[in-house]
Amino acid sequence: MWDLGCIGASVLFFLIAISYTIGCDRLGIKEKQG
Amino acid sequence: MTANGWFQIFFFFALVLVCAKPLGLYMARVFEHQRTRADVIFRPIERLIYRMTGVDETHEMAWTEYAVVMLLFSLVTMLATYAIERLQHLLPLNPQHLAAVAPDLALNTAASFTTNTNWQSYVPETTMSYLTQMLTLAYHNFFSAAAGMALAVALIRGIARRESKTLGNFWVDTTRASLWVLLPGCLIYSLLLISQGVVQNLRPYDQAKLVQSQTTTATGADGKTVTQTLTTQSIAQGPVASQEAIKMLGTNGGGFFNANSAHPFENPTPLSNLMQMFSIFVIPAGLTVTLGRMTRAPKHGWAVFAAMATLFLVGVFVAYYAEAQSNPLLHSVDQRASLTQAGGNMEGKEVRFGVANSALFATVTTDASCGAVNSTHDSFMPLGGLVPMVNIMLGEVIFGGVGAGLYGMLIFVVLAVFIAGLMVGRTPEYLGKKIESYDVKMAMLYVLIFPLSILGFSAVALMMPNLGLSSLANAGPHGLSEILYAYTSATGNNGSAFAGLNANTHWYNLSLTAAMLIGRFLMIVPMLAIAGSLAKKKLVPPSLGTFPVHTPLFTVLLVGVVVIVGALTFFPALSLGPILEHLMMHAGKSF
Repeated sequence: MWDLGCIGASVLFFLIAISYTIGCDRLGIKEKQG
Repeated sequence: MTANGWFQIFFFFALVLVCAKPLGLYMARVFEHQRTRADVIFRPIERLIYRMTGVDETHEMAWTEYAVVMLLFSLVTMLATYAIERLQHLLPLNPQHLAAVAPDLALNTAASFTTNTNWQSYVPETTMSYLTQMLTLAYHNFFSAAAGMALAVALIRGIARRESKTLGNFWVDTTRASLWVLLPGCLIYSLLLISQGVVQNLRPYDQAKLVQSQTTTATGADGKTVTQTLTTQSIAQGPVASQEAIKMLGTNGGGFFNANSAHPFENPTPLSNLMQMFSIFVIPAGLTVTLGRMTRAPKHGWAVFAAMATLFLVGVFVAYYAEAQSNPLLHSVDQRASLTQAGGNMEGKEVRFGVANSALFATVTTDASCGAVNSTHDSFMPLGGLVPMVNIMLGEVIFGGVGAGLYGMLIFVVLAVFIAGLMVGRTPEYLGKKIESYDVKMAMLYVLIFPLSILGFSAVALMMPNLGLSSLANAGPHGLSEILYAYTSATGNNGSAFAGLNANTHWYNLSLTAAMLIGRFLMIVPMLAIAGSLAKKKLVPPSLGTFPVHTPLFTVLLVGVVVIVGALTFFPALSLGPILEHLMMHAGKSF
């Protein structure tokens, strides 16, 4: 159970980090358009 | 303080200064794909690696691709490390038959080494098998450092390139950093360490018969006290020299032994101690020259070096001064320096290193994101302990971690240029690139995530008696320092411990894991966003309103921005920790 939790939490963190990357990129595009 | 102590400090700094230029120029050639003498050996290996892994070395990546590839690479290697730790009891190279690492500790360690932190909530010689140390931890020591260098180079390319959508190739940069810089450096360095007496073997631990038997009492898990008479001592062995080399050169800091660089098998002599401190600083110092060469602004590289050197010298002066003072609470003890003793505060320090080399090591290891220790920071005088903490809180930009120090400092450069632009009422420019609102927003994101993690996690730990406070060895301001240092070290990816805090609990293992991941990856993303944004910009010719970034005025402004941002953010917490402890010590109270 612990193993699943640890692996799941790690994957979740990196998914958040990838979403954050996309968010930062979109902010840049938005600023350029604005 | 003694003249001998200062001579050793300045000799160390002179050594770094002399080697920074040739190494920096060499690294610039490596990352600009120019010919080097090492190509004969490494170019065929590099080609073979790309052929085996299917990497197209001509492919250029946009900042988003660079970031996502780095994140996925880190996730996969972190999970592989976790798996090996959990399965080490079934795997070879485990002569001590060590059990599987507990899941929360395995996660903490996997995150710790993936993020170049090397925070260790465990005793390595009784927890990690030789295979775990060599295959996973040493692997991360190489690749987390190489990734840091690749990221710094990506930012430098962003500054140097004009109207470009790309920053290079993460796989190529990481491979070249490992093959051309870290690997040859570590091979030579390991042999030098072995010459000083650092052990290198795969033997089971030695058993030494004690001259005099020892009686100890220990409390078991069932709460019963057991008295034991010990007649033998287990002396840990292992492939230490090879691990030690990349531990220091990659500013990783995770010790093969629990005592880290205070252990005589890791750091046996004053010469090995000098080599260790030098190897922490040499690549980060060289990268400032790489910055100057790759941006065709060598004076700017030296201006950044000067800012780092200024902050380093102030830190080492305060640490050495504080540690050379006698403890006012020990009235009846002779603490003066003499022919027979080092004098000052020798608690927690190795006699073979003394006060000057302990204070210098503590400053160097926390200026960089290394985290190796040759003395106990918890035993430093309050102001001496303040220096390592402040060094990390400033963002470890004083030479800093391999790559991480330079890109951290360049974020402060963007802010310094922005502030200078506001002062003179002109659009801020950095080496011909206009600094616009998006760049400053990303820089502020980078700067704000850091204290948010440190202060947020520290506050939560302090609010929870059963989780955060129950691990503390000391009360009062010293206890606050121990918790604050732990989250500062984790978020700053330093990895040194103040000690006095049992961090091998579910709460600390998991919360420190989160702090390490946030401190590494959520700060890298906005940094790469700035690199991508700068790369796309046109070059603006210098005008009367351009703030020159190679002058002493720029260096002073940069130092000011680093200090003000760090001091303003953390001063309230520091005033309740080491500063209050210093004042109370002089009022006659200790914690």
